[in-house]
Amino acid sequence: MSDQTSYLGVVKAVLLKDLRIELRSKETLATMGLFGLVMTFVLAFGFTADPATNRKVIPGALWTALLFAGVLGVGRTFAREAKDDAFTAMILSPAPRSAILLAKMVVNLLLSLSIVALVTPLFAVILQVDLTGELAGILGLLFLGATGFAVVGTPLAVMAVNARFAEVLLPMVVFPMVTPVLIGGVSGTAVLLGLVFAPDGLAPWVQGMVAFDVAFGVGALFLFEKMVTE
Amino acid sequence: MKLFPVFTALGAVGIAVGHWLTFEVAPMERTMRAAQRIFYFHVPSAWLTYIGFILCFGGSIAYLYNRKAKADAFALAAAEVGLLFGLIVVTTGPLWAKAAWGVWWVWEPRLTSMALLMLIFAAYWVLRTYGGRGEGVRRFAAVLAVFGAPNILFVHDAIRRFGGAQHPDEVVKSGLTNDMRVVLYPSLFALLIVFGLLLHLRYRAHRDQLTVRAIRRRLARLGA
Amino acid sequence: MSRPLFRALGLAAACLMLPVGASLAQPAEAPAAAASAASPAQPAAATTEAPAKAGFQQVERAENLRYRHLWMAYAVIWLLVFGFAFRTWQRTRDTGAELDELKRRLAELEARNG
Repeated sequence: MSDQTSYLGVVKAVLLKDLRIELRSKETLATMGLFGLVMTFVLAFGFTADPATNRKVIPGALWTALLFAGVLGVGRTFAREAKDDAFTAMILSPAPRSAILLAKMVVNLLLSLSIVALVTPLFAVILQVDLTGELAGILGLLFLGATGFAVVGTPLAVMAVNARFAEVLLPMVVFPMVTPVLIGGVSGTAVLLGLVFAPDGLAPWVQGMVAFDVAFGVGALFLFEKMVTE
Repeated sequence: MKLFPVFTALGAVGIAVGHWLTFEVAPMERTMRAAQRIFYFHVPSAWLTYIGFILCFGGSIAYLYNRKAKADAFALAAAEVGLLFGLIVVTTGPLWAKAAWGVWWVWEPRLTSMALLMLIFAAYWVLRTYGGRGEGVRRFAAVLAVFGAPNILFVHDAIRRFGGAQHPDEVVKSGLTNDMRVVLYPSLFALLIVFGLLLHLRYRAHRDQLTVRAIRRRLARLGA
Repeated sequence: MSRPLFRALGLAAACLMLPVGASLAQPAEAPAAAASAASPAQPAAATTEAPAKAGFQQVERAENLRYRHLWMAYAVIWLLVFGFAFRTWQRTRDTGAELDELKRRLAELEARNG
Protein backbone atom coordinates (compact mmCIF):
# COMPACT_ATOMS: atom_id res chain seq x y z
CA MET A 1 0.00 0.00 0.00
CA SER A 2 3.06 2.20 -0.14
CA ASP A 3 2.53 3.63 -3.59
CA GLN A 4 -1.13 4.53 -3.82
CA THR A 5 -0.83 6.98 -6.67
CA SER A 6 0.49 4.56 -9.26
CA TYR A 7 -2.04 2.68 -11.37
CA LEU A 8 -1.36 -0.72 -9.86
CA GLY A 9 -1.15 0.85 -6.45
CA VAL A 10 -4.73 2.11 -6.78
CA VAL A 11 -5.93 -1.28 -8.05
CA LYS A 12 -4.25 -2.99 -5.13
CA ALA A 13 -5.60 -0.52 -2.56
CA VAL A 14 -9.22 -0.75 -3.71
CA LEU A 15 -9.01 -4.50 -4.13
CA LEU A 16 -7.55 -5.10 -0.68
CA LYS A 17 -10.05 -2.73 0.91
CA ASP A 18 -12.98 -4.56 -0.64
CA LEU A 19 -11.63 -8.00 0.12
CA ARG A 20 -10.90 -7.08 3.71
CA ILE A 21 -14.43 -5.73 4.25
CA GLU A 22 -15.94 -8.72 2.50
CA LEU A 23 -13.93 -11.23 4.52
CA ARG A 24 -14.96 -9.45 7.69
CA SER A 25 -18.69 -9.20 6.98
CA LYS A 26 -19.06 -11.98 4.36
CA GLU A 27 -22.45 -10.54 3.42
CA THR A 28 -22.13 -10.70 -0.38
CA LEU A 29 -20.39 -14.05 -0.23
CA ALA A 30 -23.08 -15.45 2.05
CA THR A 31 -25.98 -14.25 -0.12
CA MET A 32 -24.34 -15.41 -3.33
CA GLY A 33 -23.39 -18.74 -1.80
CA LEU A 34 -26.86 -19.38 -0.49
CA PHE A 35 -28.36 -18.36 -3.81
CA GLY A 36 -25.95 -20.71 -5.58
CA LEU A 37 -27.09 -23.55 -3.31
CA VAL A 38 -30.74 -22.78 -3.93
CA MET A 39 -30.13 -22.63 -7.68
CA THR A 40 -28.35 -25.97 -7.53
CA PHE A 41 -31.31 -27.63 -5.90
CA VAL A 42 -33.88 -25.95 -8.11
CA LEU A 43 -32.04 -27.07 -11.22
CA ALA A 44 -31.49 -30.53 -9.76
CA PHE A 45 -35.21 -30.90 -9.06
CA GLY A 46 -35.96 -29.62 -12.52
CA PHE A 47 -33.68 -31.92 -14.45
CA THR A 48 -32.59 -34.90 -12.40
CA ALA A 49 -33.04 -38.20 -14.18
CA ASP A 50 -30.67 -41.12 -14.67
CA PRO A 51 -26.92 -40.34 -14.45
CA ALA A 52 -26.52 -40.56 -18.25
CA THR A 53 -29.08 -37.79 -18.80
CA ASN A 54 -27.64 -35.80 -15.92
CA ARG A 55 -24.32 -35.77 -17.71
CA LYS A 56 -25.99 -34.04 -20.63
CA VAL A 57 -27.74 -31.56 -18.37
CA ILE A 58 -24.82 -30.58 -16.17
CA PRO A 59 -23.14 -28.04 -18.53
CA GLY A 60 -26.30 -25.99 -18.81
CA ALA A 61 -27.12 -26.28 -15.11
CA LEU A 62 -23.62 -25.29 -14.05
CA TRP A 63 -23.51 -22.21 -16.25
CA THR A 64 -27.02 -21.08 -15.40
CA ALA A 65 -26.21 -21.26 -11.71
CA LEU A 66 -23.02 -19.27 -12.24
CA LEU A 67 -24.84 -16.61 -14.26
CA PHE A 68 -27.67 -16.14 -11.79
CA ALA A 69 -25.45 -16.12 -8.72
CA GLY A 70 -22.98 -13.86 -10.54
CA VAL A 71 -25.54 -11.17 -11.25
CA LEU A 72 -26.29 -10.97 -7.53
CA GLY A 73 -22.65 -10.22 -6.78
CA VAL A 74 -22.26 -7.79 -9.66
CA GLY A 75 -25.35 -5.89 -8.55
CA ARG A 76 -23.69 -5.22 -5.21
CA THR A 77 -20.43 -3.95 -6.70
CA PHE A 78 -20.74 -0.43 -5.41
CA ALA A 79 -23.27 -1.14 -2.68
CA ARG A 80 -20.86 -0.07 0.03
CA GLU A 81 -19.77 3.06 -1.79
CA ALA A 82 -23.40 4.07 -2.37
CA LYS A 83 -23.67 5.03 1.29
CA ASP A 84 -22.33 8.45 2.34
CA ASP A 85 -21.65 9.33 -1.30
CA ALA A 86 -18.33 7.50 -1.05
CA PHE A 87 -18.58 6.65 -4.74
CA THR A 88 -18.43 10.30 -5.76
CA ALA A 89 -15.47 10.82 -3.47
CA MET A 90 -13.75 7.83 -5.04
CA ILE A 91 -14.41 9.10 -8.55
CA LEU A 92 -13.32 12.64 -7.76
CA SER A 93 -10.07 11.48 -6.20
CA PRO A 94 -6.99 11.89 -8.42
CA ALA A 95 -6.73 8.10 -8.73
CA PRO A 96 -7.15 6.85 -12.30
CA ARG A 97 -10.78 5.82 -12.61
CA SER A 98 -10.14 2.77 -14.72
CA ALA A 99 -7.95 1.44 -11.92
CA ILE A 100 -10.96 1.56 -9.61
CA LEU A 101 -13.01 -0.30 -12.21
CA LEU A 102 -10.29 -2.89 -12.68
CA ALA A 103 -10.16 -3.52 -8.94
CA LYS A 104 -13.94 -3.93 -8.83
CA MET A 105 -13.81 -6.34 -11.77
CA VAL A 106 -11.28 -8.47 -9.92
CA VAL A 107 -13.45 -8.42 -6.79
CA ASN A 108 -16.44 -9.64 -8.80
CA LEU A 109 -14.32 -12.27 -10.51
CA LEU A 110 -13.12 -13.59 -7.15
CA LEU A 111 -16.67 -13.68 -5.79
CA SER A 112 -17.91 -15.59 -8.84
CA LEU A 113 -15.02 -18.02 -8.59
CA SER A 114 -15.79 -18.78 -4.97
CA ILE A 115 -19.36 -19.59 -6.02
CA VAL A 116 -17.97 -21.82 -8.77
CA ALA A 117 -15.84 -23.62 -6.20
CA LEU A 118 -18.93 -24.24 -4.11
CA VAL A 119 -21.45 -25.12 -6.80
CA THR A 120 -19.41 -27.30 -9.17
CA PRO A 121 -18.68 -30.16 -6.72
CA LEU A 122 -22.21 -29.89 -5.37
CA PHE A 123 -23.68 -30.42 -8.83
CA ALA A 124 -21.37 -33.36 -9.44
CA VAL A 125 -22.51 -34.99 -6.20
CA ILE A 126 -26.22 -34.27 -6.45
CA LEU A 127 -26.53 -35.16 -10.12
CA GLN A 128 -24.24 -38.18 -9.66
CA VAL A 129 -21.93 -37.18 -12.47
CA ASP A 130 -18.25 -38.02 -12.19
CA LEU A 131 -16.36 -34.89 -13.23
CA THR A 132 -12.93 -35.74 -11.80
CA GLY A 133 -11.33 -36.34 -15.20
CA GLU A 134 -12.55 -33.09 -16.72
CA LEU A 135 -12.51 -30.92 -13.59
CA ALA A 136 -9.45 -28.87 -14.50
CA GLY A 137 -10.79 -28.08 -17.96
CA ILE A 138 -14.24 -27.18 -16.68
CA LEU A 139 -12.79 -24.91 -14.02
CA GLY A 140 -10.66 -23.23 -16.69
CA LEU A 141 -13.73 -22.57 -18.80
CA LEU A 142 -15.63 -21.30 -15.78
CA PHE A 143 -12.73 -18.96 -15.05
CA LEU A 144 -12.92 -17.53 -18.58
CA GLY A 145 -16.70 -17.25 -18.27
CA ALA A 146 -16.57 -15.56 -14.89
CA THR A 147 -14.01 -13.13 -16.28
CA GLY A 148 -16.29 -12.25 -19.19
CA PHE A 149 -19.18 -11.82 -16.78
CA ALA A 150 -17.19 -9.55 -14.45
CA VAL A 151 -15.77 -7.53 -17.33
CA VAL A 152 -19.19 -6.74 -18.81
CA GLY A 153 -21.28 -6.82 -15.64
CA THR A 154 -19.17 -4.52 -13.46
CA PRO A 155 -19.31 -1.35 -15.60
CA LEU A 156 -23.00 -1.91 -16.32
CA ALA A 157 -23.67 -2.34 -12.60
CA VAL A 158 -21.89 0.93 -11.94
CA MET A 159 -24.11 2.70 -14.45
CA ALA A 160 -27.28 0.94 -13.32
CA VAL A 161 -27.34 2.68 -9.93
CA ASN A 162 -28.62 5.78 -11.75
CA ALA A 163 -31.78 4.08 -13.02
CA ARG A 164 -35.07 3.23 -11.41
CA PHE A 165 -35.70 -0.51 -11.14
CA ALA A 166 -31.92 -0.95 -11.30
CA GLU A 167 -31.98 -4.36 -9.63
CA VAL A 168 -34.56 -5.63 -12.16
CA LEU A 169 -32.93 -3.98 -15.14
CA LEU A 170 -29.44 -5.25 -14.48
CA PRO A 171 -30.05 -8.98 -15.16
CA MET A 172 -32.15 -8.04 -18.20
CA VAL A 173 -29.24 -6.05 -19.54
CA VAL A 174 -26.37 -8.31 -18.52
CA PHE A 175 -27.71 -11.71 -19.59
CA PRO A 176 -28.08 -10.98 -23.32
CA MET A 177 -24.69 -9.25 -23.22
CA VAL A 178 -22.85 -12.30 -21.92
CA THR A 179 -24.49 -14.73 -24.33
CA PRO A 180 -21.26 -15.29 -26.32
CA VAL A 181 -19.53 -16.39 -23.12
CA LEU A 182 -22.49 -18.54 -22.13
CA ILE A 183 -22.58 -20.29 -25.49
CA GLY A 184 -18.82 -20.76 -25.41
CA GLY A 185 -18.86 -22.06 -21.86
CA VAL A 186 -21.75 -24.48 -22.24
CA SER A 187 -20.46 -25.80 -25.57
CA GLY A 188 -16.90 -26.07 -24.27
CA THR A 189 -18.10 -27.99 -21.23
CA ALA A 190 -20.14 -30.28 -23.47
CA VAL A 191 -17.04 -30.90 -25.60
CA LEU A 192 -15.01 -31.76 -22.48
CA LEU A 193 -17.66 -34.20 -21.33
CA GLY A 194 -17.72 -35.78 -24.77
CA LEU A 195 -21.38 -34.93 -25.32
CA VAL A 196 -21.00 -33.43 -28.78
CA PHE A 197 -19.02 -34.24 -31.86
CA ALA A 198 -16.23 -31.67 -32.05
CA PRO A 199 -13.54 -32.20 -34.66
CA ASP A 200 -11.75 -29.00 -33.61
CA GLY A 201 -11.92 -29.83 -29.92
CA LEU A 202 -12.01 -27.10 -27.32
CA ALA A 203 -9.83 -24.53 -29.09
CA PRO A 204 -12.47 -22.46 -30.96
CA TRP A 205 -14.58 -22.02 -27.83
CA VAL A 206 -11.61 -21.01 -25.72
CA GLN A 207 -10.47 -18.59 -28.41
CA GLY A 208 -13.91 -17.03 -28.62
CA MET A 209 -14.15 -16.56 -24.86
CA VAL A 210 -10.64 -15.13 -24.55
CA ALA A 211 -11.38 -12.71 -27.40
CA PHE A 212 -14.58 -11.62 -25.67
CA ASP A 213 -12.86 -11.14 -22.31
CA VAL A 214 -10.01 -9.13 -23.79
CA ALA A 215 -12.15 -6.98 -26.11
CA PHE A 216 -14.74 -6.01 -23.52
CA GLY A 217 -12.20 -5.73 -20.71
CA VAL A 218 -10.02 -3.31 -22.64
CA GLY A 219 -13.04 -1.47 -24.03
CA ALA A 220 -14.61 -1.02 -20.59
CA LEU A 221 -11.39 0.20 -18.98
CA PHE A 222 -10.78 2.57 -21.87
CA LEU A 223 -14.29 4.03 -21.80
CA PHE A 224 -14.78 4.14 -18.04
CA GLU A 225 -13.25 7.59 -17.83
CA LYS A 226 -16.04 8.85 -20.10
CA MET A 227 -18.76 6.86 -18.37
CA VAL A 228 -18.46 8.39 -14.93
CA THR A 229 -17.17 11.93 -15.54
CA GLU A 230 -19.03 14.53 -13.47
CA MET B 1 -38.09 21.39 -43.50
CA LYS B 2 -38.90 21.88 -47.16
CA LEU B 3 -37.21 18.60 -47.89
CA PHE B 4 -39.63 16.60 -45.77
CA PRO B 5 -42.60 16.59 -48.19
CA VAL B 6 -40.24 15.82 -51.06
CA PHE B 7 -38.84 12.80 -49.30
CA THR B 8 -42.30 11.75 -48.18
CA ALA B 9 -43.51 11.75 -51.76
CA LEU B 10 -40.37 9.99 -52.89
CA GLY B 11 -40.82 7.37 -50.18
CA ALA B 12 -44.47 6.82 -51.03
CA VAL B 13 -43.73 6.42 -54.73
CA GLY B 14 -40.78 4.19 -53.89
CA ILE B 15 -42.92 1.95 -51.68
CA ALA B 16 -45.61 1.75 -54.36
CA VAL B 17 -43.03 0.82 -57.00
CA GLY B 18 -41.45 -1.62 -54.55
CA HIS B 19 -44.77 -3.37 -54.01
CA TRP B 20 -45.51 -3.48 -57.71
CA LEU B 21 -42.09 -4.99 -58.38
CA THR B 22 -42.45 -7.46 -55.54
CA PHE B 23 -45.88 -8.72 -56.47
CA GLU B 24 -45.91 -8.37 -60.24
CA VAL B 25 -42.42 -8.27 -61.66
CA ALA B 26 -40.42 -10.55 -59.36
CA PRO B 27 -40.06 -14.08 -60.72
CA MET B 28 -41.79 -16.96 -58.92
CA GLU B 29 -39.04 -18.73 -57.03
CA ARG B 30 -38.89 -22.44 -57.83
CA THR B 31 -39.00 -24.15 -54.43
CA MET B 32 -40.25 -21.53 -51.97
CA ARG B 33 -42.82 -20.15 -54.42
CA ALA B 34 -44.88 -17.16 -53.26
CA ALA B 35 -43.42 -17.10 -49.73
CA GLN B 36 -40.09 -16.10 -51.21
CA ARG B 37 -41.57 -12.69 -52.01
CA ILE B 38 -41.30 -11.88 -48.30
CA PHE B 39 -37.57 -11.69 -49.03
CA TYR B 40 -37.82 -8.33 -50.83
CA PHE B 41 -38.86 -6.46 -47.70
CA HIS B 42 -37.53 -8.84 -45.06
CA VAL B 43 -33.88 -8.56 -46.09
CA PRO B 44 -33.76 -4.75 -46.48
CA SER B 45 -35.48 -4.50 -43.08
CA ALA B 46 -32.71 -6.58 -41.55
CA TRP B 47 -30.09 -4.28 -43.05
CA LEU B 48 -31.96 -1.24 -41.76
CA THR B 49 -32.12 -2.78 -38.30
CA TYR B 50 -28.36 -3.02 -38.28
CA ILE B 51 -28.07 0.52 -39.60
CA GLY B 52 -30.40 1.77 -36.85
CA PHE B 53 -28.36 0.10 -34.13
CA ILE B 54 -25.08 1.28 -35.65
CA LEU B 55 -26.43 4.85 -35.65
CA CYS B 56 -27.50 4.36 -32.02
CA PHE B 57 -23.97 3.18 -31.26
CA GLY B 58 -22.54 6.27 -32.97
CA GLY B 59 -24.89 8.64 -31.15
CA SER B 60 -24.08 7.00 -27.84
CA ILE B 61 -20.32 7.29 -28.37
CA ALA B 62 -20.82 10.93 -29.28
CA TYR B 63 -22.92 11.45 -26.16
CA LEU B 64 -20.31 9.89 -23.89
CA TYR B 65 -17.68 12.23 -25.33
CA ASN B 66 -19.56 15.52 -25.70
CA ARG B 67 -22.56 15.08 -23.34
CA LYS B 68 -24.85 16.90 -25.76
CA ALA B 69 -28.46 15.98 -25.10
CA LYS B 70 -29.09 16.06 -28.85
CA ALA B 71 -26.64 13.23 -29.46
CA ASP B 72 -28.53 11.19 -26.91
CA ALA B 73 -31.88 12.06 -28.49
CA PHE B 74 -30.50 10.91 -31.83
CA ALA B 75 -29.24 7.65 -30.34
CA LEU B 76 -32.65 7.00 -28.79
CA ALA B 77 -34.47 7.75 -32.05
CA ALA B 78 -32.12 5.47 -34.01
CA ALA B 79 -32.61 2.66 -31.50
CA GLU B 80 -36.39 3.00 -31.72
CA VAL B 81 -36.48 2.94 -35.51
CA GLY B 82 -33.99 0.07 -35.47
CA LEU B 83 -36.26 -1.83 -33.10
CA LEU B 84 -39.23 -1.19 -35.39
CA PHE B 85 -37.43 -2.69 -38.37
CA GLY B 86 -36.11 -5.49 -36.18
CA LEU B 87 -39.67 -6.26 -35.19
CA ILE B 88 -40.55 -6.47 -38.88
CA VAL B 89 -37.65 -8.86 -39.41
CA VAL B 90 -38.52 -11.18 -36.54
CA THR B 91 -42.21 -11.33 -37.46
CA THR B 92 -41.86 -11.78 -41.22
CA GLY B 93 -38.95 -14.19 -40.72
CA PRO B 94 -40.93 -16.96 -38.99
CA LEU B 95 -43.80 -16.46 -41.47
CA TRP B 96 -41.37 -17.10 -44.29
CA ALA B 97 -39.71 -19.99 -42.46
CA LYS B 98 -43.05 -21.68 -41.78
CA ALA B 99 -44.09 -21.47 -45.40
CA ALA B 100 -40.68 -22.44 -46.77
CA TRP B 101 -39.56 -25.18 -44.36
CA GLY B 102 -42.64 -25.95 -42.27
CA VAL B 103 -41.14 -24.70 -39.00
CA TRP B 104 -41.36 -21.32 -37.34
CA TRP B 105 -37.90 -21.13 -35.93
CA VAL B 106 -34.55 -22.69 -36.65
CA TRP B 107 -31.47 -22.49 -34.46
CA GLU B 108 -29.47 -20.59 -36.98
CA PRO B 109 -26.78 -17.87 -36.57
CA ARG B 110 -28.52 -14.98 -38.25
CA LEU B 111 -31.91 -15.62 -36.70
CA THR B 112 -30.55 -16.09 -33.23
CA SER B 113 -28.14 -13.17 -33.29
CA MET B 114 -30.93 -10.92 -34.54
CA ALA B 115 -33.10 -12.12 -31.65
CA LEU B 116 -30.34 -11.36 -29.15
CA LEU B 117 -29.67 -7.98 -30.69
CA MET B 118 -33.36 -7.25 -30.28
CA LEU B 119 -33.18 -8.37 -26.64
CA ILE B 120 -30.28 -6.01 -25.94
CA PHE B 121 -31.98 -3.04 -27.56
CA ALA B 122 -35.32 -3.96 -26.00
CA ALA B 123 -33.54 -3.63 -22.66
CA TYR B 124 -32.25 -0.27 -23.89
CA TRP B 125 -35.78 0.79 -24.75
CA VAL B 126 -37.21 -0.40 -21.43
CA LEU B 127 -34.47 1.49 -19.64
CA ARG B 128 -35.24 4.66 -21.57
CA THR B 129 -38.98 4.32 -21.09
CA TYR B 130 -39.23 3.24 -17.46
CA GLY B 131 -35.79 3.85 -15.96
CA GLY B 132 -36.20 7.61 -15.48
CA ARG B 133 -35.03 10.62 -17.44
CA GLY B 134 -31.98 11.71 -15.54
CA GLU B 135 -28.53 12.32 -16.93
CA GLY B 136 -27.32 9.13 -15.26
CA VAL B 137 -29.88 7.04 -17.10
CA ARG B 138 -28.76 8.53 -20.40
CA ARG B 139 -25.20 7.62 -19.60
CA PHE B 140 -26.25 4.09 -18.63
CA ALA B 141 -28.16 3.74 -21.88
CA ALA B 142 -25.20 5.03 -23.88
CA VAL B 143 -22.90 2.50 -22.25
CA LEU B 144 -25.46 -0.20 -22.97
CA ALA B 145 -25.57 0.69 -26.65
CA VAL B 146 -21.80 1.00 -26.90
CA PHE B 147 -21.36 -2.46 -25.36
CA GLY B 148 -24.39 -4.03 -27.01
CA ALA B 149 -23.87 -3.18 -30.67
CA PRO B 150 -20.39 -4.72 -31.10
CA ASN B 151 -21.44 -7.62 -28.91
CA ILE B 152 -23.41 -8.94 -31.82
CA LEU B 153 -20.21 -9.82 -33.68
CA PHE B 154 -19.31 -12.17 -30.84
CA VAL B 155 -22.82 -13.58 -30.60
CA HIS B 156 -22.91 -14.27 -34.31
CA ASP B 157 -19.51 -15.89 -34.24
CA ALA B 158 -20.43 -18.07 -31.25
CA ILE B 159 -23.71 -19.24 -32.73
CA ARG B 160 -22.12 -19.93 -36.09
CA ARG B 161 -19.79 -22.38 -34.36
CA PHE B 162 -22.74 -23.72 -32.39
CA GLY B 163 -23.92 -25.08 -35.72
CA GLY B 164 -27.35 -25.14 -37.25
CA ALA B 165 -29.36 -25.06 -40.41
CA GLN B 166 -28.85 -22.86 -43.43
CA HIS B 167 -30.69 -19.58 -43.61
CA PRO B 168 -33.10 -19.53 -46.56
CA ASP B 169 -31.55 -16.22 -47.43
CA GLU B 170 -28.29 -18.01 -48.26
CA VAL B 171 -30.16 -20.21 -50.66
CA VAL B 172 -31.77 -17.23 -52.30
CA LYS B 173 -28.57 -15.22 -52.45
CA SER B 174 -26.63 -18.03 -54.07
CA GLY B 175 -29.26 -18.08 -56.79
CA LEU B 176 -30.00 -14.36 -56.77
CA THR B 177 -30.76 -13.67 -60.37
CA ASN B 178 -30.76 -10.29 -62.05
CA ASP B 179 -34.55 -10.12 -62.17
CA MET B 180 -34.55 -10.57 -58.38
CA ARG B 181 -31.94 -7.85 -57.92
CA VAL B 182 -34.10 -5.50 -59.95
CA VAL B 183 -36.76 -5.92 -57.25
CA LEU B 184 -34.53 -6.07 -54.17
CA TYR B 185 -32.61 -2.82 -54.62
CA PRO B 186 -35.57 -0.51 -55.30
CA SER B 187 -37.28 -2.04 -52.25
CA LEU B 188 -34.18 -1.35 -50.19
CA PHE B 189 -34.06 2.21 -51.47
CA ALA B 190 -37.74 2.82 -50.69
CA LEU B 191 -37.45 1.39 -47.20
CA LEU B 192 -34.31 3.45 -46.64
CA ILE B 193 -36.34 6.59 -47.30
CA VAL B 194 -39.07 5.39 -44.92
CA PHE B 195 -36.35 4.69 -42.36
CA GLY B 196 -34.92 8.18 -42.78
CA LEU B 197 -38.34 9.84 -42.47
CA LEU B 198 -39.24 7.92 -39.32
CA LEU B 199 -35.82 8.63 -37.81
CA HIS B 200 -36.26 12.33 -38.56
CA LEU B 201 -39.74 12.46 -37.00
CA ARG B 202 -38.68 10.50 -33.96
CA TYR B 203 -35.58 12.62 -33.43
CA ARG B 204 -37.62 15.78 -33.70
CA ALA B 205 -40.12 14.48 -31.15
CA HIS B 206 -37.32 13.80 -28.67
CA ARG B 207 -35.70 17.15 -29.38
CA ASP B 208 -38.99 18.96 -28.77
CA GLN B 209 -39.24 17.10 -25.49
CA LEU B 210 -35.83 18.47 -24.56
CA THR B 211 -37.03 22.00 -25.33
CA VAL B 212 -40.12 21.44 -23.20
CA ARG B 213 -37.99 20.38 -20.29
CA ALA B 214 -35.63 23.33 -20.76
CA ILE B 215 -38.53 25.80 -20.73
CA ARG B 216 -40.01 24.11 -17.67
CA ARG B 217 -36.73 24.57 -15.85
CA ARG B 218 -36.63 28.21 -16.85
CA LEU B 219 -40.19 28.74 -15.68
CA ALA B 220 -39.33 27.11 -12.39
CA ARG B 221 -36.38 29.47 -12.01
CA LEU B 222 -38.60 32.45 -12.74
CA GLY B 223 -40.89 31.22 -10.00
CA ALA B 224 -44.03 30.42 -11.96
CA MET C 1 -46.15 20.51 -39.21
CA SER C 2 -48.82 17.86 -39.04
CA ARG C 3 -49.96 18.57 -42.59
CA PRO C 4 -47.04 16.90 -44.35
CA LEU C 5 -47.46 14.04 -41.91
CA PHE C 6 -51.11 13.64 -42.83
CA ARG C 7 -50.14 13.77 -46.46
CA ALA C 8 -47.52 11.11 -45.84
CA LEU C 9 -50.03 8.87 -44.12
CA GLY C 10 -52.55 9.32 -46.91
CA LEU C 11 -50.03 8.57 -49.62
CA ALA C 12 -48.70 5.56 -47.80
CA ALA C 13 -52.22 4.26 -47.22
CA ALA C 14 -52.81 4.58 -50.94
CA CYS C 15 -49.69 2.50 -51.51
CA LEU C 16 -51.05 -0.11 -49.15
CA MET C 17 -53.97 -0.61 -51.52
CA LEU C 18 -51.57 -1.66 -54.22
CA PRO C 19 -50.60 -5.12 -52.98
CA VAL C 20 -54.24 -5.81 -52.21
CA GLY C 21 -55.17 -4.83 -55.75
CA ALA C 22 -52.31 -6.89 -57.09
CA SER C 23 -53.55 -9.91 -55.18
CA LEU C 24 -57.01 -9.51 -56.69
CA ALA C 25 -55.51 -9.06 -60.12
CA GLN C 26 -53.41 -12.23 -59.84
CA PRO C 27 -55.56 -14.62 -61.86
CA ALA C 28 -53.58 -17.80 -62.32
CA GLU C 29 -52.68 -19.08 -58.87
CA ALA C 30 -54.48 -17.14 -56.16
CA PRO C 31 -58.13 -18.03 -56.91
CA ALA C 32 -57.39 -21.74 -57.07
CA ALA C 33 -55.71 -21.55 -53.71
CA ALA C 34 -58.57 -19.52 -52.28
CA ALA C 35 -61.10 -22.03 -53.58
CA SER C 36 -59.38 -24.92 -51.84
CA ALA C 37 -59.37 -22.93 -48.63
CA ALA C 38 -63.06 -22.08 -48.92
CA SER C 39 -64.20 -25.70 -49.01
CA PRO C 40 -62.40 -27.59 -46.28
CA ALA C 41 -65.16 -30.21 -46.00
CA GLN C 42 -64.83 -31.57 -49.51
CA PRO C 43 -61.33 -33.08 -49.32
CA ALA C 44 -62.59 -35.62 -46.74
CA ALA C 45 -64.93 -37.08 -49.30
CA ALA C 46 -62.32 -36.83 -52.02
CA THR C 47 -59.75 -38.99 -50.21
CA THR C 48 -61.43 -42.15 -51.43
CA GLU C 49 -60.58 -41.19 -54.98
CA ALA C 50 -57.23 -41.55 -56.68
CA PRO C 51 -54.20 -40.88 -54.41
CA ALA C 52 -52.83 -38.62 -57.11
CA LYS C 53 -55.60 -36.18 -56.37
CA ALA C 54 -54.82 -36.22 -52.65
CA GLY C 55 -51.21 -35.48 -53.46
CA PHE C 56 -52.27 -32.63 -55.67
CA GLN C 57 -54.43 -31.22 -52.91
CA GLN C 58 -51.55 -31.40 -50.51
CA VAL C 59 -49.41 -29.39 -52.90
CA GLU C 60 -52.25 -26.96 -53.31
CA ARG C 61 -52.63 -26.56 -49.57
CA ALA C 62 -48.92 -25.82 -49.23
CA GLU C 63 -49.21 -23.26 -52.01
CA ASN C 64 -52.18 -21.71 -50.26
CA LEU C 65 -50.19 -21.46 -47.03
CA ARG C 66 -47.39 -19.68 -48.84
CA TYR C 67 -49.75 -17.05 -50.18
CA ARG C 68 -51.42 -16.61 -46.82
CA HIS C 69 -48.09 -16.10 -45.12
CA LEU C 70 -47.02 -13.65 -47.78
CA TRP C 71 -50.06 -11.46 -47.16
CA MET C 72 -49.71 -11.82 -43.42
CA ALA C 73 -46.08 -10.71 -43.61
CA TYR C 74 -46.94 -7.59 -45.61
CA ALA C 75 -49.86 -6.77 -43.33
CA VAL C 76 -47.58 -7.03 -40.30
CA ILE C 77 -44.98 -4.78 -41.91
CA TRP C 78 -47.43 -1.99 -42.63
CA LEU C 79 -49.30 -2.28 -39.36
CA LEU C 80 -46.01 -1.88 -37.53
CA VAL C 81 -44.79 1.01 -39.66
CA PHE C 82 -48.07 2.91 -39.49
CA GLY C 83 -48.52 2.19 -35.81
CA PHE C 84 -45.07 3.59 -35.18
CA ALA C 85 -45.65 6.63 -37.38
CA PHE C 86 -48.99 7.27 -35.70
CA ARG C 87 -47.54 7.04 -32.20
CA THR C 88 -44.75 9.41 -33.20
CA TRP C 89 -47.23 11.83 -34.68
CA GLN C 90 -49.37 11.73 -31.52
CA ARG C 91 -46.32 12.39 -29.45
CA THR C 92 -45.13 15.27 -31.60
CA ARG C 93 -48.62 16.80 -31.50
CA ASP C 94 -48.83 16.57 -27.70
CA THR C 95 -45.32 17.92 -27.25
CA GLY C 96 -46.05 20.72 -29.69
CA ALA C 97 -49.18 21.74 -27.79
CA GLU C 98 -47.29 21.64 -24.52
CA LEU C 99 -44.49 23.68 -26.04
CA ASP C 100 -46.88 26.39 -27.25
CA GLU C 101 -48.50 26.60 -23.83
CA LEU C 102 -45.16 26.84 -22.07
CA LYS C 103 -43.89 29.49 -24.48
CA ARG C 104 -47.02 31.53 -23.90
CA ARG C 105 -46.57 31.33 -20.15
CA LEU C 106 -42.91 32.24 -20.44
CA ALA C 107 -43.67 35.28 -22.59
CA GLU C 108 -46.40 36.35 -20.16
CA LEU C 109 -44.07 36.03 -17.23
CA GLU C 110 -41.24 37.88 -18.92
CA ALA C 111 -43.58 40.69 -19.93
CA ARG C 112 -44.78 41.02 -16.35
CA ASN C 113 -41.26 40.99 -14.93
CA GLY C 114 -40.29 43.73 -17.36
